[in-house]
Amino acid sequence: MTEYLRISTLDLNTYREVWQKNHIKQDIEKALVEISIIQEDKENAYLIKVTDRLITNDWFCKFLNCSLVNYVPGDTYLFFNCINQDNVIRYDVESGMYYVKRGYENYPVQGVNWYGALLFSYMCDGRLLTELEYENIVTKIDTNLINYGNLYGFTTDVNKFPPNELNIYDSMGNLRVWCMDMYSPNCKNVCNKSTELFHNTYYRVVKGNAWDKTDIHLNKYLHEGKWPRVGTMGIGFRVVFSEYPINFC
Amino acid sequence: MNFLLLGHQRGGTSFFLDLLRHNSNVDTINEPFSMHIDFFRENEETWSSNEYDKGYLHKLLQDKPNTQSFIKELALWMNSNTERVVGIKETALFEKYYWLVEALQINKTVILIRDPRAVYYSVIKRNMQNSWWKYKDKLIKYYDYRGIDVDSELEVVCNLIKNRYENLYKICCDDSKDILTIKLEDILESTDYYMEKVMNFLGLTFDSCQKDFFSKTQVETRNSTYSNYRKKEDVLDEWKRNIEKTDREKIDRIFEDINIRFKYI
Repeated sequence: MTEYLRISTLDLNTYREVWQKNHIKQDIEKALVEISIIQEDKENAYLIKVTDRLITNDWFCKFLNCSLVNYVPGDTYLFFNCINQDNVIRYDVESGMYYVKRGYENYPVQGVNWYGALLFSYMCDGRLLTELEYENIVTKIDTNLINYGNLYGFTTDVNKFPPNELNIYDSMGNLRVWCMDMYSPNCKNVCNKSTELFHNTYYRVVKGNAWDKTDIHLNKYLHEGKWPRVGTMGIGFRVVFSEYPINFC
Repeated sequence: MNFLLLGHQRGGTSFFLDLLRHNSNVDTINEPFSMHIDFFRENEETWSSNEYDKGYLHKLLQDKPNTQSFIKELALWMNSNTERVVGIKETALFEKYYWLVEALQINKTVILIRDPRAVYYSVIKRNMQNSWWKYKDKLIKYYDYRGIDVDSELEVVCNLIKNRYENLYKICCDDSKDILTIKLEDILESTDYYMEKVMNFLGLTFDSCQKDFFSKTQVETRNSTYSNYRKKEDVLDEWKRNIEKTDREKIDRIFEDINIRFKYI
């Protein structure tokens, strides 16, 4: 997985040191839910632990401040889009630190690209959801209790609406989520298949609905991909822990 | 096949891009330059196709390695997809159009025009001229502002929009490129006809998912800045109802030439 993280091993080790001092992983471990994943072409289910909420601004901001490289003013970002000034995590040039606009600490982090989401997950010793796992964590939804369709004009607190019956918050709203899977229009659940893997670095799977999307995205099986380099205001992520091997490429 | 969608801020480009994106054969990225790269939000200097360099892309980007790699990866993304039509939208960079076409190897260009008076009203309503887009600074730095009262917001905003529309008009008139110019008002009034025209230009048809998205978003106006939900009447007429008469006369005067060229008057 480290080959996808786009930073040197030296940087990665330094991150880890600072990261461990910040206790972010311990905080995340307090927000995990255990879920059984049913596979489409296999009899055996497997277990994952997944964050019950989308990763928040508070957590991700701490992560950014542990990092040595993301952004050089006047250039562009590597992991997190601090250039879009609608983003509530801001970069302070003078201190070289990131901070969260007051009141938005418990809102889900936006503007993280796939590499940033993967790096954050890796630092927790976890990974992102697979497409199949996402479809497993979404249960019956009440459309009155979801942030989508521009009803609120922005994201909302990750605990604003009640969780679903698996105790997952925002399973179908607030932000869509980055998945581990490579995307191809004609092939789903690549990470959970043992078939020959294809190589397409231009797309990663994105699932779910977001504050600015319509009810067309209320379908949990909707299969879409996005250029992984881009950090947009409609995509967030969750962290997953599992012993079960997936076919990651 | 790839395409570039150009249109002014508050010109309906986000909605139009989402409308395109709802076709299952289309994939898009929203403002990869102005919302993802510092440099392109600040710089409004004209670049020609001759200034494109294969290595560092442009002399002013030589010391920006992340920007170079971002644009090169974007060009790869735009030119590697044989299964779908991929496109990007920009609300700036009209003055860098020919450089952009070289850097990204653009196949087709769609230009979305909205009545500049409606654009002016929407910019002012959201106070965008004083946000990070810095309308006054841009006008003074990059355009001829002689005879313009730069302390008047109306004059600053209208004249910056006018200059940008002039850049767009030059692109629209270029027969050497594959360009389609379309009006937001036409899309709203005669949706099937004009959307079919746009989709055919991209080698596709206006499909049921796009029609569904269009009809759902027209039901009511949800008034956040980037909302897709807007009633047709609000988009077409709100500015007419709300601009004061004395302002309207000034605005009409500033936009007169551009409105004649784009046949708004």
